Amino acid sequence: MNHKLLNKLVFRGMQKNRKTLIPFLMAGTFTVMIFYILQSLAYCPYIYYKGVEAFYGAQTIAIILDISSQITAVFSVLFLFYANQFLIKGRKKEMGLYGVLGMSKKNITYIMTAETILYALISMAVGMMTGTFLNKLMLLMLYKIIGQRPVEGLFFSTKAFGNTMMLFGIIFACCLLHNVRSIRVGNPITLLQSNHTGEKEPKVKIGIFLLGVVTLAAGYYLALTAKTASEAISSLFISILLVVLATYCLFTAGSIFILKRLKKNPKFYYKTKNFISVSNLMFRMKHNAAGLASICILSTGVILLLTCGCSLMMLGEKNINRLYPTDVKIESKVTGVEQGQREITQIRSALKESGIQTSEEVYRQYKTIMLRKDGQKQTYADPDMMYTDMGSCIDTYLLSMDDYNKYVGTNEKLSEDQVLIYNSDKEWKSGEVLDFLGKKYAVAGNVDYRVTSYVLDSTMSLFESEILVFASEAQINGFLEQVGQQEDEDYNVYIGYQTNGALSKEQQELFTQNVNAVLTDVEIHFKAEERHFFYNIYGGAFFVGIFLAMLFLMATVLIIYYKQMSEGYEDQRRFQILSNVGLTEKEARKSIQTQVKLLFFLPVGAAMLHMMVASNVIRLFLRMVLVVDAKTFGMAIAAVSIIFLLVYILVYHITSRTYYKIIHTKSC
Amino acid sequence: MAVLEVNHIKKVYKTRMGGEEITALRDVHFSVEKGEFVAIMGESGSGKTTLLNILASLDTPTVGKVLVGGKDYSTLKDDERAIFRRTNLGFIFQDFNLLDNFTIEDNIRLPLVLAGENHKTMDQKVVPMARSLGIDQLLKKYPYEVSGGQKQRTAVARALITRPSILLADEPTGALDSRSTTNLLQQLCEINRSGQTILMVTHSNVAASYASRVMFIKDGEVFHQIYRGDMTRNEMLDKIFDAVTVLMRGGEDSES
Repeated sequence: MNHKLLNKLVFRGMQKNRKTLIPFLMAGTFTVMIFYILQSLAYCPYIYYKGVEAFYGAQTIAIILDISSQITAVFSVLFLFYANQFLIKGRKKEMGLYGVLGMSKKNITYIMTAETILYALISMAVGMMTGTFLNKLMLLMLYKIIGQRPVEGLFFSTKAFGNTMMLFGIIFACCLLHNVRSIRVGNPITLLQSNHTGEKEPKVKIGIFLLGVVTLAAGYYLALTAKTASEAISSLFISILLVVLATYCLFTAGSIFILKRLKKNPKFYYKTKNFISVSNLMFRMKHNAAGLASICILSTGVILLLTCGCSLMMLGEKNINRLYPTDVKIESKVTGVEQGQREITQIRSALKESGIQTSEEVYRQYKTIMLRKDGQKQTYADPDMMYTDMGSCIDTYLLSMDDYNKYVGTNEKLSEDQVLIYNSDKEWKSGEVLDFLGKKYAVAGNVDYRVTSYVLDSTMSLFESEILVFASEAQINGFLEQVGQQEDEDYNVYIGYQTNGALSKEQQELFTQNVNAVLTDVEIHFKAEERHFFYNIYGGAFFVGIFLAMLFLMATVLIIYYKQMSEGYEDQRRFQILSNVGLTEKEARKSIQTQVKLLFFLPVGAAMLHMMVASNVIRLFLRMVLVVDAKTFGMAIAAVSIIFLLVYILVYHITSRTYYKIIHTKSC
Repeated sequence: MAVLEVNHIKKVYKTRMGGEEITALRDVHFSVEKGEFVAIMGESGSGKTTLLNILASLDTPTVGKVLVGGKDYSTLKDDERAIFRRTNLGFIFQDFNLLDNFTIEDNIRLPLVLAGENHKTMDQKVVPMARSLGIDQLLKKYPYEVSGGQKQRTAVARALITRPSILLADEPTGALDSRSTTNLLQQLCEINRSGQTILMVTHSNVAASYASRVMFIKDGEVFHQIYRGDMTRNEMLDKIFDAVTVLMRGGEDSES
């Protein structure tokens, strides 16, 4: 057969199948584009290239970009395969017809190959072209998020280009192989009738259903009972796996189980609206359960990513303030109170020499000790021992009442068996009893957090933290001696200043030089610089998060679209028969709506539930990098969920229009 | 009173662009008495499907009226018409039109459920109906598990379960083998003997020979009628053959 005719058939086929083909090509283009953008940003000279950082923290961003492009790659494979399968399903009949008309398998293979190559070319060319244009835009967006000044000039990464070509070349080649095989295996007649075989009512797979129930319970239990960040780390991965498994099991087996139950109840089942819906849903679930479960998982992923990103950005400033309560922060260790005073004077003169004007000075001295929770008791945590349950450790700061009075400006007294307390995880009340290093102390009140929070070491936020104020310095030294931590006169010192106006880079450098000239072993932090670093890292993570969320969202939309279409074709005949038997249009529409809506909102509902359960673990997880208060986190979840739901409803409206169109074209 | 009155109906289709008009039914006029078994015969394109669609209230005539039990349903709204259809008419189709996702039992129940009947009274109707058609052993099976003949008997059961005033059958034997065909037609005769009015569209002479009256349609008009009277089935079959021959000759004449 001549190739001109075959080529014509290729184009005719594409035109005829445009309803399924266009979304496929869009999906292909979009995945190519996202992968290419992530890759070329990862190898972009304006971020990190050949060991040169374009700005502070750029290497971390480049790594995040690279990892997420790999996630995208894995995802693209699964996703394009899914879309391809849907595409080929619709073409089997056509190929069967060609076969009956006398086309050889070789010819059909030619058509398939030509088509796939065309699809690959379109997806890759359009994807990479838009990718190249969007690249610059994305880079500028990233720069905007992290507060970097924009750069001039375009760039092109050959490595990203090569990687993209290779990955998608392989994916499309695999799709082609699969298609050719599935077409060549069957004979024309079976291909022709491939969508007319009667099918069995789905059976309840009780084993899978139970597995789903058990894994869901286990996953939820792990997520809900995690109390500390370390528990969250160890259980997050497992609980995600369990819940994913459970979602698939319950969507496939659980739905059928429930529907069968409903069917067994004649009072419920033999009602006009239930009769048709229940039995239709059973078959729909049989075909679409896996797709719905995927939608559910993807939706959860989108909401989760965006929530994390939003809370990072919303809480950024708060955390910087917590990590660096003052514009200039100096941490030091001194021996004796006098040395501390000496250091202050030295630092003051260094400030003057550097031309830095300050408005406020903070000086705090304290001692630290690591404790372990042992039931209600707090015992010493030996640093030489490895504790498996990091969650039970308490990072504790000890202050004497004299110093505390100075900081707060009061003149209170404590007796030897009294204590003031602050604990990050527990609200203590006056009169309660604290069991500390084997002795009992009455809690006399709460420590003023605002005044003392300077002492908290922000890098230890993984642990529970506690501030204790005891009657005297001697008593505190007694404790340290008791546990063998000899440091009679050693204090940790926090010295901080609020400055008038921003500091220039030169001022910062000069000040650091001046301080280091007279003092060794001190750490100096400038809030402005740290803020910059923070936004570089988390801004980059947020940026990538948005990218992945977009990818997942697109996949969700596409799966929904395909699902609606395939169902539309299945239901077309069914509703025709029903209307012949005397189902009114109104009844039919009502029944369709119930089913479509249920199927549509079931995955999102489940996703929201997952998200609610997961919020606890996620919050604990985020606490490793920043302090997340429940209110802001809750707000982030709510905001993201509402926006997601709105987008989802919009997609529903658009896709259900296609569905109704299919339903209402009468087949004869 | 006649169960079905067809009053000079005419059906004209317009082509999509609104250009040419195609007359499917020119002038059809007849009536069916209660308890009759009428077969309508005609070649493909003679308009018999159009006629059946109009009788089934799936389509409306351009001119003329169809009265079922003295009532004209062309004035009804779509939804009311659907309800009218399910209470007054029963259908059998060539390709059975059973729903794959329902058991045989639920397929038979379907019209009752649509009518909103209590599920206990349904059981009292479904089982005897299935037994009378010899499919009571298959109730829990699915359509794809039973033979064509059994499928068609299920369709008959579904059509009769609401005790319709007319049973409309569109080529009911079209997809069946000869044994199932005979079986089904005998069953239809029996149903007819119990007082059920049946109107069957077919182009099979054998199928038509079971009817008490055969109407021939050609070019959108009733061309000829044969009443059985007290003829045997074979005599009836001969008559039908003759009529068909005449019909076909006439067709050749008009073509030449």
